Amino acid sequence: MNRAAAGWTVAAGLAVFGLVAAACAPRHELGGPLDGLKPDELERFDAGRTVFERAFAPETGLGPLFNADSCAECHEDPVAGGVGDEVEVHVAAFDPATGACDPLAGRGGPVIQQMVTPALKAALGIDSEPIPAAASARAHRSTPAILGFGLIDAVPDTAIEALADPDDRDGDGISGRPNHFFDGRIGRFGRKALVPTLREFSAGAFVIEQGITNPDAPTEETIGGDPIPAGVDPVAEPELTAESLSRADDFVRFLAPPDRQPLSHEAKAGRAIFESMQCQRCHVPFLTTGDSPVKALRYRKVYAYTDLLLHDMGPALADICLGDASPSEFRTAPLMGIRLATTFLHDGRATTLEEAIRLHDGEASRSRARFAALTAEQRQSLLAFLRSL
Amino acid sequence: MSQHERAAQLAKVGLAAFLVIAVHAGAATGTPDDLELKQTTGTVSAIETDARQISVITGCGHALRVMVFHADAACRIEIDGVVAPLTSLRRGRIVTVRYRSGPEPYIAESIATIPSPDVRGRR
Repeated sequence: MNRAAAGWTVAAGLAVFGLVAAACAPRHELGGPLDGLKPDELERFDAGRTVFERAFAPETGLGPLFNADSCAECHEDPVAGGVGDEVEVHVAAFDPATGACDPLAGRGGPVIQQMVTPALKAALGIDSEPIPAAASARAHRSTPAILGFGLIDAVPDTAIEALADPDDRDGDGISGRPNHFFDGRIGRFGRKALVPTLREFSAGAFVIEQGITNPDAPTEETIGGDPIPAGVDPVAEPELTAESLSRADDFVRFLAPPDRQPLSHEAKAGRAIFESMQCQRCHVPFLTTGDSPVKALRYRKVYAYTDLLLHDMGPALADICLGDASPSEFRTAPLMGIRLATTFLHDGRATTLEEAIRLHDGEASRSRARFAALTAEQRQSLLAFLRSL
Repeated sequence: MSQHERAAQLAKVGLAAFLVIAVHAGAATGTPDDLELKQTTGTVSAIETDARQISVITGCGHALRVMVFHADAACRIEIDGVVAPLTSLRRGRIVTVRYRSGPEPYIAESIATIPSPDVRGRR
């Protein structure tokens, strides 16, 4: 065999080996890290898990208002970073005449904490934060899985803007638009897409969910706008160090998305139905991340099944306004990992995927009508596809 | 030590004591120049022109905060790049405020609007 022939033989062998290796590659452990993290990034991921799972007590800063004593108390099922059964309360005041939205930030909003420390109860005799009298609506928010959200964080703003069609110029009845934070940046996290970055979401969550101040969110929540009584929260601010905050951020950012399941024949048919129903106009199958100092987050496809835009979902689902989002506008929920969910929609009111689809309205009303027109077999195919995500 | 020298020494001690007290008094009152200059960007939620105060929504994630700023006559206010009076500022505008840390209301050194994002399709 000459040298050229030998080279081709080796190349062909390597190609076959590669295909076999890919087919036999172990699937990701749910709740594990992204592929391709460097050793120091994996160390930060592991260190961050400890912070994510750390249970705080009043002596270590918990409260005095809080919803949970750790991140993992809510994002727990079936792994840290997964879904949870906690449902929290948000409020806002909306003026339909002017479209003005007040998140009631000066009166304890928009998140109303459901628990208090013994010291706060002793001081004020309350069991939860009072609902501000100025609230025009209250909302319930279920706990979503956050697996793979680091990839969503790494999607450039320009990719979100490119999907927007605020004036419905293409006439398809779907007119997504981005939300913006109060400083004008494009938002993407939260059911109303208010929060621009995952780190800000996490830093803010430490305060609003656990009452744990940190360098990025250094002040405690007020109690309906009133300051915390003296002596109730003696732990000095910030109650979480910059190092711990960064590690928690690393853990969440580096969580791998759930593997999509191999598609059965039925699920393949369901995928075609998903597309024919135009679901993918909002639940865009994948987004591509931009540049990142972390190679594992750089220029990757993330099969999130969302456009990260706000869409009008109709009056029946409407609750609070937030930022630019009107009461009936919600960010397209990522379907990535939807098979892990046990309740659906922003408030968990739907107990099945089928019920959730039937509750779509507004811009999704045409897709809902198409779903209603499917045969029982076609519906099962569609649900099989969704359960593969 | 002569009486003259003793008087001079007492004068020095007195001056030193005065300086120490003066420095501490300055720190306690927090004169604006002693306070750290900070900057924040957020949405104007309220304007009290008589009190020359504005409220701005800022925050981190869903931990939203309302910051109150006092804009006295020395505060430079720019609206769309043009110097303007406080009465020309409107609720809902996004502003960058440079201010001195300290107890609220914070003392604003400058307030400048930034372009509002495109909110076409507002419902």
